Amino acid sequence: MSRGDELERWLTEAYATAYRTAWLILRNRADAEEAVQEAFLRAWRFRHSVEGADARPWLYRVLVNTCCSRLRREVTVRSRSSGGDGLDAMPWSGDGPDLAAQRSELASAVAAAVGGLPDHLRIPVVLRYYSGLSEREVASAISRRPGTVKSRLHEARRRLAANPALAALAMEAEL
Amino acid sequence: MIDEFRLTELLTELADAEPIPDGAIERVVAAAFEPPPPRRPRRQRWLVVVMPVALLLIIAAAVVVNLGGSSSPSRFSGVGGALGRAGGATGAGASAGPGNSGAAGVPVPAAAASVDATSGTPVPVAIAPVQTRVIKTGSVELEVPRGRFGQTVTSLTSLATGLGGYISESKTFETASVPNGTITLRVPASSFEALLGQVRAKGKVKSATSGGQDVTGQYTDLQARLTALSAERDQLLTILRSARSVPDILSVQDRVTGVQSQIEQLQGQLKVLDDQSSFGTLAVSVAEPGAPPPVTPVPTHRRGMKKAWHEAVDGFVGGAEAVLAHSGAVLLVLVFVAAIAVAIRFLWSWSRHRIV
Repeated sequence: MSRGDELERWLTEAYATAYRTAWLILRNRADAEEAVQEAFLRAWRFRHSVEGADARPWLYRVLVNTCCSRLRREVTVRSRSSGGDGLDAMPWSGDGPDLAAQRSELASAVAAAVGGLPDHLRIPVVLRYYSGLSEREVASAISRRPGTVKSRLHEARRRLAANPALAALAMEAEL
Repeated sequence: MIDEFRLTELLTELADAEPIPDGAIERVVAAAFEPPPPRRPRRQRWLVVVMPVALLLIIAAAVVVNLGGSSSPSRFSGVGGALGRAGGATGAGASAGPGNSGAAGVPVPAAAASVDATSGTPVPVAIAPVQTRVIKTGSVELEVPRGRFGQTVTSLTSLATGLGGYISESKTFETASVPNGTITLRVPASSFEALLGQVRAKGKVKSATSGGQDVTGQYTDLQARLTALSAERDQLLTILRSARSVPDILSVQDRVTGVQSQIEQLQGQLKVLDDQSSFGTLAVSVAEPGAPPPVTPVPTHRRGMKKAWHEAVDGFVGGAEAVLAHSGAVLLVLVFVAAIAVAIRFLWSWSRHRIV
């Protein structure tokens, strides 16, 4: 198998989840695509350093770092241009009106609720509950202790539960 | 608390609705195998930390250097330059230190330097001969025959006055069973040896000491400093006459007062040295047989261990004064170092700002 085939096979397996993870973190399609491409290229360039080990947590670590770099840049630009308002208020961008219309009410509520979480809570939530990383792998990806990850996930779920729109929809779904 | 399983479902539903961009995988593959673009110069984050630190260090160094060389006080707005030059004359004069001592009684040349008040450049001055200055001291313990105590004391007094000297101190105890006493004679330095010889002839010498200390260098140094300070005072007075504003006048007057005070101190030291070297001092203890051991007066200059001890004490006091005098500058440097440390910490944490 050539190197091109090897990369393509890896991308076919992992790209979709990685892209959607980046999209959930960055809340912007263009940024997510750039971040994922950058992360895959970096990971591909240094793939020999993780040979034999599980490359998935490592890929997500690279991806989180890339996303954080973009968020940091975004924070700098936003604080410079508008006096530093929080990211919580930042709307999801890059969606066309047709797609927004197609999105279910529940999905919109989830998007708003997750988007309203601060970065340090949103990233562990996405990695744990969407990407399917274990708490230890999330800890490795964000360079924090597993205990920190556990407490952040707990705090994120508490905040999501307190979100009135999400809570109402969840109650409807249960009924 | 939202259920973990439910949250996973919701997020999966939300994310899976997001389509993958067309051709994204192909773009990654193409980017992976295309030749790398020319590297842009990487943003040097460490420069963000290093540059302000370097700037602070330069400012601190400038402040310290300025404090160290305070020859041009800024508060002398109109006449600061001239004052600085006048101050420089003092330094040059003071630096013309000792080193001009020669053999006893032989005049040796003293090289001195002055500073031109207008240009600030050193100007050589005429080399003047300097007379050697030696402080001569001694003590003699005499035993005179019974009943001859009073006569001996009288003859010692006559001897001193006959040589152009005088009695500087006299303590006699003639009421005791055995009369005794101590007389300190001071005669011109040139007659000191003659005095010593004649005193020894007055009775039985039980002990005798004599010595000399060459203070020519010290004397020359004091003279040079005095000359320089006098020149500085003259300069200051000239500046004072041309000063117009009240702050300038007050500032220059302060300086004049300070310099005048230094001049008077130096003149006092010169006077003492002049007196000590012009007249030799001989302490004579006179006693009849059976008298208790006389109390020898403390010599005017110290020697041996005592001298070393006093020098040690002087050194300690001088060191403490120097430490105290420099504590202000050290404190300022410490404040700057603390500010730099805080700045480094702040900039470092800023540059390492973490999102998660």
